[in-house]
Amino acid sequence: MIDVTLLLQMVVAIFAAVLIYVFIGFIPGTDETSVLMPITLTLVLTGVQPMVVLAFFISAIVTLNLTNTMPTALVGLPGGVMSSPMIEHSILLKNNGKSATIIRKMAAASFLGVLVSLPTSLVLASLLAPYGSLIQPYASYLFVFGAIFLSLISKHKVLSLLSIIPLAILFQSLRHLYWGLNVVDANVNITTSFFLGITIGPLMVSLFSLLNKDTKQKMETDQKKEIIIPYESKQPLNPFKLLTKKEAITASVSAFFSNFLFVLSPVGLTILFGETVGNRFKKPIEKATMSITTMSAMVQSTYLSQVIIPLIALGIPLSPVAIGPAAALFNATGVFTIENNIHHMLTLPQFVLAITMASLVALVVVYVLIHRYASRITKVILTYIPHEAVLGVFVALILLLSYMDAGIINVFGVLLIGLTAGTLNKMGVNYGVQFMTLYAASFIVSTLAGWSM
Amino acid sequence: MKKRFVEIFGDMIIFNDLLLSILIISTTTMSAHLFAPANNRPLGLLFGLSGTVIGFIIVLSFIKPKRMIKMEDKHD
Repeated sequence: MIDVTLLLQMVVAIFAAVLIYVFIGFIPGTDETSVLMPITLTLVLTGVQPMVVLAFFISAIVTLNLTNTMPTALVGLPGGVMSSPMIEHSILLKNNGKSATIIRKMAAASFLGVLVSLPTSLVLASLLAPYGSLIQPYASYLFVFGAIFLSLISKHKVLSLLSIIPLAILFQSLRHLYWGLNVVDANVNITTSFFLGITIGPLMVSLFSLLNKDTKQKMETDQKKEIIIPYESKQPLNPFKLLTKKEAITASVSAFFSNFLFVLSPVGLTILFGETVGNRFKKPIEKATMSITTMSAMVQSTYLSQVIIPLIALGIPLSPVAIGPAAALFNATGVFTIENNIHHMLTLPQFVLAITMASLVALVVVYVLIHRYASRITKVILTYIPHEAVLGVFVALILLLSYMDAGIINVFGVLLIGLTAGTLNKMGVNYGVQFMTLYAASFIVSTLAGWSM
Repeated sequence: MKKRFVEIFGDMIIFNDLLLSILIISTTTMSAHLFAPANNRPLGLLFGLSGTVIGFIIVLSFIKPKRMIKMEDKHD
């Protein structure tokens, strides 16, 4: 049974997540994985109860997905990776003076996204759960299959396919180097810092190219960015009254179907559904409004289903979100492993309680908050938080986690991964393929070695 | 006026400010981490993250955003 102390801890975790991620969500350009993973990992490593960790994480993603859309809608700067597909539409709507109403519609659609996705993914997860233990022994094959599958559905198929084995060799060669030099024990499989190296890769490549004076000169301008923030408008809070019937139905139906596609990229799904819906309309404003509301619902539904289904039903991170931002729930050095993680430690009712409580509490609190204060929070954040500080934090986090995983040598090892993965990323190999390859690396390389003898 | 702003990841920066920011936050993060008790991963991470927050606040105090912000006239 669940005791009162545990419940209290969960409530504290939920509100802590809301507090932290409202702030982070409003800061433009904060990549979801880099801001969710390290903090969740800290919580996991501190030995906090699995239910509390889960409540924290779910509250964090609901909060982040809602608040990330605010700088996007208000000032046209993407709050995170997931809101980048909305930029074009939000700028069009902003230029037509619609920002104040559109942020309300987006928040309402986001609200619907959670309400639809939560029950759907919980039901889907419990239906799939009996098959989870059958799948688990084949995890390493599934990661290889996942990497190939994600390559085949990406825009640059051949490029992605060709990058799998070299990347796998890069990861394994560093692991074997550290084992060979006795930097880490032979049973330690470094994942966390490699993973963040992939995440920060594109940023590393950009920073390094700025170290080249010629490139830097070409990129320089004397223009600052002018940003105009609209006021909040006084409108009812009821999400059903903020959306037209057409918008509400389209957003809900899209959110529902995305649950069944939980192995596909959340950004990809958001673009696919959002643009498909929008293309059915001719008038630019109507088109942009339909796209952006559907996308807001999709962001919530893809994130929730991609954490909930693999976590409850499978126990292996077989979705882009599970293998990315939620990675610490499946694999955290010394606490969780692929064979023994939150999936194995909680029962179905415990999952349902933690997930439902966290998502609904966070949703209501953040929803009301942004309806009242979205413009003012945006103004404060944009006035006081320089982009330099945000990028500085990313670099420092990677430095810390690389150092903690395998000392100074790994700081440069992760830099090597960042530059390689980042270059491939800029060429067109997406994060999903790279993350899957990281998990499949050991299997791929040992198979290749077997064939080479 | 001298050209000096660079757009990176969707927003404007000044390169030297960025280098300074990375240097400061990395230093506070790593020094705080080294103060944590040895062989204690959770505390090490917690100390490190506190260092990150401290560095972030230091950077906020003297590096200013490169954005011109205006509030829109009230209308609906």
